[in-house]
Amino acid sequence: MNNIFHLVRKDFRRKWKNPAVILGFLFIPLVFTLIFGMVFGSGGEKTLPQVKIFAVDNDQSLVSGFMLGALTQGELNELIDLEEIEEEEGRKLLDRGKASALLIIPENFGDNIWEGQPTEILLIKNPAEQFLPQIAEEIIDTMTLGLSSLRQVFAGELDTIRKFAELEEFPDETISALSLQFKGRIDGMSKYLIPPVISIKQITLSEEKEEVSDLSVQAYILPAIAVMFLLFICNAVFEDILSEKESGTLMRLRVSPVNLREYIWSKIVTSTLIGILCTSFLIILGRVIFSINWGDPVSIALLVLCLNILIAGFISFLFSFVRTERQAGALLTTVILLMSMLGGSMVPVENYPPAILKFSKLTLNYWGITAFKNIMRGEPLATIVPILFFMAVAGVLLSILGSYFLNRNLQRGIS
Amino acid sequence: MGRKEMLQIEHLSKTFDTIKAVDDISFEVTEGEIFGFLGPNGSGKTTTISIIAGLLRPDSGKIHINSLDLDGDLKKIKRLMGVVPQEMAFYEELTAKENLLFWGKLYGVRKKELDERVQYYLEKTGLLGRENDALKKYSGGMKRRINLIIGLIHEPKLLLLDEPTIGIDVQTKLNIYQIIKEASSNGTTILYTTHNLQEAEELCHRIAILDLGKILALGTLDELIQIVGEKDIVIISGKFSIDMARTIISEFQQATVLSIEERKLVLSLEASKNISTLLEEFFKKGITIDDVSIKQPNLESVFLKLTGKELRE
Amino acid sequence: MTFWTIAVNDLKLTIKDKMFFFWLLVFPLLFALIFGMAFPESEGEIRKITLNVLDHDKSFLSEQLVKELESEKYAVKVLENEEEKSIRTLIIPQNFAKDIISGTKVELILEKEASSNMEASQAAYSNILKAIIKIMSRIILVAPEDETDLKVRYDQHDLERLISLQTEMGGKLHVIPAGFNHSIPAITIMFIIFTILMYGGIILLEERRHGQLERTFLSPATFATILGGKWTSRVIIGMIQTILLFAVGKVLFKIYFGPSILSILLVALFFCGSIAGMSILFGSVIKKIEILIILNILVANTMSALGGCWWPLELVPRGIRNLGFIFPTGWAMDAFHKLLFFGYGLSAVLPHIGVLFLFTVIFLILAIKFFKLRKN
Repeated sequence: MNNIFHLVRKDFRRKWKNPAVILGFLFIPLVFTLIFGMVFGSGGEKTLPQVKIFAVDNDQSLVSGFMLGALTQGELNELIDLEEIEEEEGRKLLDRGKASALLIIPENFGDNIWEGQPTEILLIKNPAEQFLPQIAEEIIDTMTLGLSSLRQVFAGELDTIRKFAELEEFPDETISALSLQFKGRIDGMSKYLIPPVISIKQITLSEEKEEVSDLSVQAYILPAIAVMFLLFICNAVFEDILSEKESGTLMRLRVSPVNLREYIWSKIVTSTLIGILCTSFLIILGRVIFSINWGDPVSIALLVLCLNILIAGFISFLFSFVRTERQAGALLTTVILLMSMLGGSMVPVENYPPAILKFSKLTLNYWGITAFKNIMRGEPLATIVPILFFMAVAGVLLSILGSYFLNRNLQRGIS
Repeated sequence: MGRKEMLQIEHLSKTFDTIKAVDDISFEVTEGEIFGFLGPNGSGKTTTISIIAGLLRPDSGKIHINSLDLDGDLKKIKRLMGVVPQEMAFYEELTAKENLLFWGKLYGVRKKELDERVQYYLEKTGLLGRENDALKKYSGGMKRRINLIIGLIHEPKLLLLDEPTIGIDVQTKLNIYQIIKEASSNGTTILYTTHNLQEAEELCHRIAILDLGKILALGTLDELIQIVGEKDIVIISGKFSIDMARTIISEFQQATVLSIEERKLVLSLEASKNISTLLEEFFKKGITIDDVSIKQPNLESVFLKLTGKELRE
Repeated sequence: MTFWTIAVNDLKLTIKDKMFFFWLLVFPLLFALIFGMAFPESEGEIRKITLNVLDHDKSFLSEQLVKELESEKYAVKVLENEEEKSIRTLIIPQNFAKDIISGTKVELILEKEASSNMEASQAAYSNILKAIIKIMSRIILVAPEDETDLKVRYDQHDLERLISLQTEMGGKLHVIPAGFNHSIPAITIMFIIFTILMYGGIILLEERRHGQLERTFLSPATFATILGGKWTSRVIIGMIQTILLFAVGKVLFKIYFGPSILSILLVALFFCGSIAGMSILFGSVIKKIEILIILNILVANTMSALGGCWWPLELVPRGIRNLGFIFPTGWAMDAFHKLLFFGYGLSAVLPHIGVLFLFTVIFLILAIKFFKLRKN
C-alpha cells in the first residue's frame, strides 16, 4: 500500500508539472458547452431559433395587413421574424438562404375574403432547411384557418355590409341593426374567445412520468461531453504506462521492490483520483459560468465517485489488450469515440431510432449521462442508487480484470 | 581477504528464437569487486544483466545473490540490488531531488537518511544547486550522473551498470568512475558492462570477455594479457592480399597471427628483434607497406586474439 | 521532381499508420450513419407524429376534438388509462364540454416526455391549436345551450376553408438537407479537418523533433518546393477522403450530388487547401504532440459545429450562423448547400472558392512566418 501511495504521489507530481493534456481535455467540454449554448440558447426549454419569413403583400388591403399584423403579435412575435419585401427581391434572397420561407399574398386577397370567395396564399419554402419552413407552414396554416373561421362566423354580417356597400346606401336602421348583430355576435364570441376559453399547458416529463423542469442546454450538454473527455483523460493516464516502458522507468520500477501489480493499481487509483478532480472542477465551473444547477450535492458526489471508478476500471481493462502506443491509439480512441457517439455524448440519444438505442444502453456514457440528468431533474437519491451501485461494482470488477491482464501482458511485454 | 561471493552464476543460458544470447556462462563476483563484462554489441552482456536483475527468466542455470536464490527470493534480492540501465530511466518532468527521493522511498530508505544521501550524492556529482531543476533541463552528462546515483541512493549490495558512460564528456566520465570506485570501496559489488576497453582496464578488478554469448576469457587485466604473451602487437597495413600475407607469415616462425584481412595484418611478435626482418620479407615480395604500428600487449590485443576481430566503439 | 518526391514521401508516412484508414473512412462513415439517423429525412413533410389522447371527458365535444386532430400527418391514439401514456399525450379534463359551453376556462394539458422530438412536439402543438380553432368555430356558430343541443346542431354548420395555403419549394431542387444527404457532406468536411490536421501536423512535428526536417532543408530543395510538397500531400489526403466518402455515400446511401459534381470537387479541393495550410501552420507553431492533438480536437470540432456540420444550420440563430463564416467550414458547407440543395452551378460558389483560397494563403503566410527547423 505504501508503494502504491508513493507511486500515486509521484504521478500526481508529474501531472502537476505537465498538466497541458489534462487541462486541454478539461477545457474542451467547456468550449463545446459554450458553443451549444450559443446555438441552442441557454433557457430552460429547448427552443428553435426565430423563423425568418419574408412577406410579399401584393394586395395591400386591410385584410392582408391584419393577417400580417397578427403574425407579429404576442407569442408569434417571438417565434417569427417577419419582414415585408418585394416579390422579386424576396425570391432572390430566399434562394440565397436568407429566410426560411417567402409568403406571397396575392392581389384581390382582401376582396375575395370580403366576398366570401375561396382564395389561396403561397408559401415558398427554403429547400436547404427542413424544420423551420415546416414550422412556418404550420403557423401560417393555422392563421389562415383562423381567418377562414372568423370569416365564416361573421359571414352573415359581412354579407349584409357588402350588399349595402354595393348599393352605396346605408340606411340608419340597417346600420343600427348591423351594430346590434355584430355586438350580439361579439358578445356570443367573447364568452369563448375573450379570453380564450381553451388553453394548452405543455409539461415535460421525466422517465418516471413526473413533471420535471426541463434542463438548460448547457446542463444537458456539459455532463454528456464531460463523460467522453473523462474517458480520454483516464486514457492519457494509462498511456503513461507505455511511455514509461519506452523511457525505461518501468524497467527500473520492475527491478525495485515495487511489483507490477502495485504499479498497475497505482495507475488505476491515479486515474480515478484525477477523474474525480476533473469532474469536480467541471461541476464547479458549470455552476459558475453556466449557472447549471447540479441537484443534490450528495447524489452528485456519489455519482462522481462511482462514475470515475467505472471509467478507470473500463480503461484499465481495455488497456490490457494493447502493447504499443499505436495500438493504444487505435483501440482506445475507436472505442471511446464509438461509445460516446452511441451513448449520447455527441448526439442526444433521444434522436436515435430504437435499434440504435439498444446499443446506447450498453455504453458507460449512457448511464453516466442518465444519472447526471436524473439528479439534475431532482430525482431522489434512492432512485439512482441502482445505477451508482452498478457503476461501482462494474468498475471494481473491471479494475481487477484489467490489472490481472495488464500484469500478465506487461510481464511478457517487458521481456 | 575473507570476502564472500556476492554473485554466483552457474551454467546460465538464454535463447531467443534460434539465437543463443547467453551460452552456458558461469562466474562469481566477490563482495566489493568491480567485475567487467566486455564485449561487442550482441555479445550477451545486456541479456545477462537483465537475467540477473530478474527481468528475464533464463532457460537454464542458477543465480545466487548474497546467498539468496534469484528464483525463490527475488523480493529480498530486489532490496539489495541497484540497476543503472543504459537508457536514462528517470522522470524528466520531476527535479533531480524529486527523482532521488522517490526512488529512495521505494527502496524503503528512511526520510532522514534519505535526505542526507540525496545531499551527499548531489554534492558528489556536482549537481548541488541544480537539484530543483527538472531533469529535462539537464545536459546529457548531468543526466548520466543522475541516472547513476538513482541506482546508488539506497546503497545496494549489488549494482548492475549497463554501459553507464555512453555519449558523455571526459569530465563526467571521470566523475562517474570516481563514484563507482568509491561505492566499490564501501563494499558495493559492481557488475559493469562496457564495450570500451580503456574503461574496463581503468575500472575493473576482473574482466570477462564475452562474444556470441560465451565467456571467452575471465581474469584480471594481467591474467588476460598473459593470453597474448609478452610479445608486442604489430599492425601492418599495405597493399597485399590475405593469401600473400599468409605466405609471408608461414615462412616467418617468430610471429603469431592475431588477425588477417585484406591490406591489414595483426601479429604478436617481439618487435625489437624481428620487425625489420619481417618487413624485409614483405619488400622482397615487392609489397608496398603503408603503415606499421607497434603496441604493448593490452586488452584490445587479448580481445583480438580471442575473437579474431577488433572491438570497435 | 523534388516537389513531388516530398509530397509522395509525406503520403507514404501517413499511410504507414494503420489508424489512418480508420480516420479516412471507417470513423467518418460511422459518424455519418449515426448523424444521418439522428436527423433523418422526412420526405418534405414532418413524418407521422405520435399524439396520444387521454380523454377524461368522453363527451361528444371531446370526441370531435379528437376527430379534428386526426390527419395523414398524425398517428392519434386514444388511451384507456394513465399507464398507457408515452412520448406525448393530450389530456382532456373532465367536464371539458360542459365547461366550454358555459364559457368556463378549460386547460388542456400536452404532456411530452423529455426524450420526445422537439420539432414533432411543436408540430403537435400547432395541430392541437388548429383542432381547437375548428371546434371553437363550430361552437361559436352553433351557440349551444347545452351538450345535447350541441350534439344535435353541431353538424349543421360546415366549416369552409376559405383561405388555403399553397406551398412550394424554392431553388431548383427538392432534395431535403437531412438524413444522409446532409450528413455525408457534413461529416466529410469534419473529417477532412481531423485527418489533415492530425496527420499533417504530427508528421511535421515529428520530423522537426527527429531532425529529418533540418536534413530536408539542407538538401538542394528550395523552401518553396519543400513547403509546396508538404502542402500538396495534405491536399491529396483530403481529396482522397472526399472522393471515397462521397462515393460510398452514393453507393450505400444514394445521396444526391446536385447537377455539378465538378463544382463539388472544386469546392472540396479549395477547402482541403485551406486546411492543409492550417495543418502546416499548427505543425510549425506547436512543439508537443499532445498539445497538437488537443488543439486539433478543439479547432476541428468548433469549426464543424459552427460551420453546420453537426446539425442543420437552420437550428442556429442567424447571428451565430454568421460566426461560421469566420472559418473555412462555414464557406464550404454553404457552398455545398448551394450546389446540393439549391441546385446552383459553379458561378454561385465562385465567391466561396475565392474565400477558401484566401484562407489557404493566410495560413501559409503565417506558417512561413512561424516556421522553425529545430525543436528549440
